[in-house]
Order: sequence, then structure tokens, then C-alpha cells
Amino acid sequence: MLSKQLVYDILTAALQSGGDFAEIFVDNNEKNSISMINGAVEKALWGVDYGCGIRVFSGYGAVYAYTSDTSRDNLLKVARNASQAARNGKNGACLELQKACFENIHPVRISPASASKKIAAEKLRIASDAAFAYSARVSQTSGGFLGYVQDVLIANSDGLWAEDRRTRTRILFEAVASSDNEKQVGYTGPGAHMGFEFLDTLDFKEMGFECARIAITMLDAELCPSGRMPVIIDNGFGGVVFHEACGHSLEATSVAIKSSVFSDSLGKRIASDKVTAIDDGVMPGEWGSLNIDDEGTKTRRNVLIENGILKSFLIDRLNGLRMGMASTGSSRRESYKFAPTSRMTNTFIAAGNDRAEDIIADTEYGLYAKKMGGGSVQPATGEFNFAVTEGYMIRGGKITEPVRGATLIGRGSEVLLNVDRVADNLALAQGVCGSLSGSVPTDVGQPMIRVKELTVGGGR
Amino acid sequence: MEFREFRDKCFIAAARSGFDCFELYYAKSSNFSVRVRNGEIAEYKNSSQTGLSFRGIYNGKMGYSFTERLDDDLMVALLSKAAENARIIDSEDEEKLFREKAAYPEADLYNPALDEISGADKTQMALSMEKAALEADSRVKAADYCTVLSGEGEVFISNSYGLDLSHKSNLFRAYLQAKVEENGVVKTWFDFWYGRDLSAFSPKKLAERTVRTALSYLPAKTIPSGEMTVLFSPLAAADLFNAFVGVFFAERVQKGFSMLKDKVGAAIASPVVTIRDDGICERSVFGSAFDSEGVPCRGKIIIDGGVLRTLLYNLKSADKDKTRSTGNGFKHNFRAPVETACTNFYIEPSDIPPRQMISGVMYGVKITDLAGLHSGANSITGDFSLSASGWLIENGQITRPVEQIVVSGNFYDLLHNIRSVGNDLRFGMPGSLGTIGMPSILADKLNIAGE
Repeated sequence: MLSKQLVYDILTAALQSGGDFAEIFVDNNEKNSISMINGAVEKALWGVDYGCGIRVFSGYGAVYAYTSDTSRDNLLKVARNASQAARNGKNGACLELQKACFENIHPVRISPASASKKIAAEKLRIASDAAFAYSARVSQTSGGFLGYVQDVLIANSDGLWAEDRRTRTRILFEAVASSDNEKQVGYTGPGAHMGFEFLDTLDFKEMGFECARIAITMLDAELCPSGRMPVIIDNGFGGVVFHEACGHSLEATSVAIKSSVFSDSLGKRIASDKVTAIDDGVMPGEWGSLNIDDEGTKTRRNVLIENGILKSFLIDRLNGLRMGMASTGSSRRESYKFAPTSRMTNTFIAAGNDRAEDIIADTEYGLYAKKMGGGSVQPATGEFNFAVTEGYMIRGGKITEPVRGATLIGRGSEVLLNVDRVADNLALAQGVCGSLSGSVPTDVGQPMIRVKELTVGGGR
Repeated sequence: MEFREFRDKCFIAAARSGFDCFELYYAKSSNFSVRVRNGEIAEYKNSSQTGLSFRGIYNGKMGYSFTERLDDDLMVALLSKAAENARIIDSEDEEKLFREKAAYPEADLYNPALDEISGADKTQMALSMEKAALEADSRVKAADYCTVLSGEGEVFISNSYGLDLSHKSNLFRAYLQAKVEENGVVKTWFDFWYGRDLSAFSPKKLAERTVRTALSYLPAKTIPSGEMTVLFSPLAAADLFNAFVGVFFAERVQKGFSMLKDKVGAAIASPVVTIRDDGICERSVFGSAFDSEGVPCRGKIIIDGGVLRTLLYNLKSADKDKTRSTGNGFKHNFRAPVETACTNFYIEPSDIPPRQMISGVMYGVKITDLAGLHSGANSITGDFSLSASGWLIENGQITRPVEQIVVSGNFYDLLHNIRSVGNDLRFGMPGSLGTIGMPSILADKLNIAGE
């Protein structure tokens, strides 16, 4: 990467005409992937992303510049230009750079960037074969392996010098079931902050069966009835509800500028007393975990909501200044092409005391959303939407016919207050969350929960 | 190292490494943006970026690799990794690079005058946009994401058959989201301007239009559920088509991910629907003279009066169907393998204004905003179920704003159920699948979930 002297010179140049604080982010990311259709490798890709981002604070504003030309002359020029643009700030100085100490809690055995893609292909073929064996109505499968090793250097004018390596490995698998005029998909996408050895923890045959089962079940499903009804959302990826409906609105990005519905809610009740929610960036090997965030702050476990009361936001350095609060180790970015901002890591609703089977037995009529798809939220109004990829109607306390095409909509501020049951079966699931600072790996999670009433759109 | 120097060295090394033919794709861009808040700069961003992708045919299979760093070590890695990637490909599809001498459409997508506008001038525009929004009405609480952007990009493609193309374009953009509040009810509206002729841009007008639209949604409420006729505004229609444009890609049809197999020549849409895809189009400021494989982007009719005339092809998918590439072989970014994307994909507008389109609608909704397109739309089955807002239509008139509804239907059915299209074609911003423009679309038999 870059020498200490060069980094010091860049940070000094970035403050020479103005600016209160300067930071540099150097990013070398070696990426490796394959994608398969019907068990055959269609695409294989390898490459290196490399570049550098320079950020200068000026009051509550920030200048961000990035470049893939990391020659000394160019970097100094970029830094000086950034300082020019930040000339309203007071002239800061760069302190001596000191290496930050932190523990690597994500040991890696095999680098996924140079691992054998042949082995990944063989494993994915097992899943594909299992899916085709499950039913003759399974018409296609697609599979993918993605791995990367991202080396980052983060240094700033407060004297921080932090280097870290993030190694992530992910598997994607999808089975498509077809009838004459209908196609349905079953999907899974497990990932970890681990090396290629992550593949040894997965049961590819079971993965193939499970995706085929969902696709076949949904192929035979009727369209979901529309209207307002109780909704039971299952554990694991069901946590996307919390992620969209509430998590984004707790990010300082929208809280600091008061565009979040929860901006003035610290210490107040924003959820029913059954709800405790946590953002935990220090879970070993977990997909959304990081040793340090993208500003070099150590990540940690943040309790966001405790028994319904809002306890903490997710805060990055710049929005922390705007809010008069300290960073919570939540500053993230996809790559050097993005200025960092507050984001989620592994975010979940904590386990409650109910048993899942009791929640279903106690529900007279409603929708059971067993598998959720993605969703989105408008932070200013809290309006969210998300898709149910595997759903069933509940009648008389029993799970009955499968239903397809359901979408849940509502407002984050209302849905959390309407959670009336929380089970004890917490599970996490992996996703990629897109926002201002790009797409970052995050875990969502929850135990089974019941929402008293939600608007369900379904086409019937 | 400069691109041409790297290319010349790399081509010599690639020929020695056992590649039959090969190509380098090089993209270079620089971008500027400034976002303001409360009369101050909130974010000021400058960037310059280059990326290079190698692909080559090795033992009959295409191998890919990419880098953002141009140095000798990486050149060696690029070639060895591309060969390694070619070796594990199982697909039997025949791969090729473009070797024809072709004529290319005239493309004028670069205005040097845009380079003359300073960062300070752009900051001033963003500030006046925010000021105009905040002063437009006492109910305006904020102008979020108030941003002015400019950027230019240049693409170079060279292959071992002597192809040597380059193309330069630039663009200016501005956008903001107005947040308005009345009696505790908050509404937001996002709008934008883009173009190359700045004499047509007024920060004040954009701000005022955005505020006016946001205010018009106060106070919205939901409506009873039911099946009804829907008027999609041009940008809502473009968003919807963006989720499903992939069904027209031959690549997806061949893989079974589209329901349009064997449908060329069949009526797949209402007779009022004619869809074109034009590489260069006077109605749009976007476009390209050639695709990521170097094939000319010619104009074509995809749906003609409801009848499907062609799918969109790249070199590989065209070969499979024994036809010619339509010039739609695009990479999503410089790293990605060549797939398919549209260029300027649009429904041919009519001469009917939207007001007249709804004159016969007794009860329905006009949808102006859709959310959840990445999760609520199944690009394989065509099913969609999307959070929406807009207006109630009663007795041929727009009566009141509507929010918190879900519109559900099926894209293939929707094509047949289009009753009329408007005269108000508007293009959205380009996405990874290309640029989509739509006029207003009036469609029957959509399911609305409200209360």
C-alpha cells in the first residue's frame, strides 16, 4: 500500500488550505467469482479494484475525492484540491501517525481470492443435482460463488493508522420450478466473514432440496388475498422487516438532518415492550462483522432498542459531529469510491419468550410469511415495503394453503408498536444492503414475530 | 501506465500466452458532485477513475479478468487468471469477438461547454435550488439530497481483429427531494433534471416544480381494495418497465428466464403499443454508437402495434438464434462479462394528453410513484406487487391524493391490458439494464390493495 511518509504528506496537503480533519482510505480488493446455470459454469471472473479516497471535514460539511491513480503526484494534487474546496474550515494539522491495535476476530484459513473455483463448482453442482432430483418440475438452477479479500489502510489527521483485511465468502443458489404458464423461484444466499473454508460448513444437497421445495410449493400456490390482517413473520431473513422498517431510520445519516421519524425519539418508546433490537458488529465470522469500521473505529455491540425504548442510533464521525455524539463504530462504505456513513452490520431483534408453535396456534386468521424477499424504506416518512417469497394463510391457528405474490407495506413507527409476540428462535441471514455509501454486506435476523395488523397486497 | 502503452504490451503477451483472439475494454471517467444543506456545503465530491477488462478466447472458451491498476505485474496476472477462468467454463456456447468492418451511427454526446462550469458555479446552483425550494412554501421543511453533478466518461475497445473504437460523453444533472409537512403529515417528492444544454436548466424551476408536486400529495390517504384501471405516470411506467425489460433479452429467453420463447411474430401487447430501442435517439440525451463488444447500436422496433418483432441480442445470443447482434451486448460495468442491455428503450408516444386518457375512467388511480421494485417484481414470472402512491380518478377527473396502496399484476398481462399511451414521453436515468423512456400508460385490470 502507501508508505507512512506519503500518507502523512497527503494528510498534511489535505489540510493546507483549510479543513478541520483529513482522512485517507486506501483500498485493494481482489475479487473472485463464478456463476453457473444448471450445474455448468457459465462465467468465471477475477480482478483487482484498487484506489484511494481522501476526505476533508470543514465544519459540518465534507469534501470527498477519490482516484484510482495512486501515484504520489496525483494523490498530493487530489489532496490539495480537496483542501481548497474545504477552505472554510480552520487549518488543522496532522498528528504523528500511530498504529492502531485491535484483535482480528475473523481468522481465515484459505483465501477465497485464490481458492480453487473448481471445488466451488463441484459443490454447487451437488446442490443443482439435488434440486433437479427433488421434482421433475424443477426446470432451472443457478448457482454462484463470490469471494474477496479487501485490504484497507485508514489513516487520519488525528494520528490514526489502521490496517485491516476483510475476507468474505458467499454462495448463492436458486431453483426455478415451471408449469405451462408459471415460474417460481426458491433462493438462498449464505455468506460469512470467513475464507473459502466456509463452504465446508454448508450442506449443498440440503440447499438444493430446500430451494426446490420452496419453488415447487409456490408454483402450486394461489395469489395472496389483499387487505389488512395479522402477519406472522418467521425467523432468519424475516429480520429484513426490522432492517427496512426501523434500522435505516436509526442511521445517523437521516437522524442528524432530522429526516428520520425517530430523530427526536431517544429514550422514548418506539416499539412494543416485546422488542429488543441489537446491531452487533463483533460477531466472529459473521457476514456483516468488521474488526474496525471504515473510519478505523473499533466495531461493537450496540443495543438500539431495549424493551421498546430507543437507546441508541448508529453513528459515524461526521454525523456524530452534527449530532454532538460519539461514533458507534458504524461507519461503512462499499469501497474507496464512496464516502463512509452510518450503516448497519449484523442487526436483529433479540429472542423473546414465546414458542413459535404457540404464536401460530393463537392466530385465528392471518398471513404466515415464512420466507421474506427484499424491501425498501423512505426514511423521511418511515414507509416501507417488502416481498414475501414463501407465504401461507393461517386459519383457526393452523398453517393452511401456500400463497404467492404477497407484499407487506406500512410505516416503521407503527409496525414496531404492533409487534405483540416474539418467539425464542433467533436466527440470522445474510444480505447486501444498498444506501448512500454503496452496497455493504449485512446480516438481518430475528426470532418469529407477530404483527397485530399490516397491509398485505397480493393480487386477489 | 497509459492505456495505449498497456494495450500494445498486453496484446503481444496475450498472443504468446495461447489466446486465439482477445480484447481490451478500458473505461475512464471523472465526476463532480456537490450537495448542500441549510445554505452550506454538506458534501463536495471529485473523482477520477479508470478500469480495464481483458477477455480472450482460450481453447474455445472465453476467459475474463479485470483491474483498476495498470502495471506490469498485473498484466501477467490478468492473462494467467483469464486463461484459468476460461479453463473452468463448462458452457458449450460458441464465443466470438466482433470482426466486421461496420458503419457506426453519428453520436454527439459531448458538450465541451460543460467543462467550463466551475465547482463554485455548481455549488451556487445547488444553493439557489435549495433556497428556491425552502422559500416556495411555508410547509416546506427541507430540501433533502439537494445535489448538482457533472461527469464525463470515455470508453475504448480494441481487439486482436483490429477493432479500435472510442467514445466520449458528458452530462450535467441536478436533483432534490422536497419534504413538506402539514398537520403532522409528512410527504416527500424527488425530482431531477439532466442534460447537456445548460440554457435549458433553471435551478429555481426544478425546485418549485418539486415542491409543487410534494404539496399536491397533502393530505393523502388510502382507498378501498379492488381491481381497477390505472394510469401510470411516465416515470412510474419507466420504473415498472425497468424491472421487466430483461424479458426482451434473447440471452434470458434462451436460458428460460423469460416467457417470450417462440413469441416473435405473435401479438404480446395491445395494438396501441409500439416499442423501439435506439442507440442514438433525438428524444434522449443518452445513448451510444456501439455496444461493449464494438457492434453498432442500430435503431430497431421491438414491438410493432402489439406484435413482437425482435429480441435484443449480443454476439453470443445472436449466434445461438442464427441471427445478427442488435448491438445490445453491454457490460454492466467495466469488470462485468458482456451481457445484454437496452440503449434508449421506449414506447412510441401518441398525441393524446394524459388528461384526455382518463376522461372515460369512472373509478381508478393514477400512480406516480412505485417503491420496492428490486424485491416486489419477479422478472421471471412477470408478477409484481409494489408499494405505490398517486391520485384517485373519479368520473374522468383526478380528485385526491392516495398513499399506502399496493398495486399488483403481471407484466405480460399488463402489456395486453394497455388501453392507451400518452403524448408525454420522458426518459428516466440510465440503469444497469439501459435507459428507459415511457409516456403515460393507461392499463385495465390491476389489483389495488388499500384498506
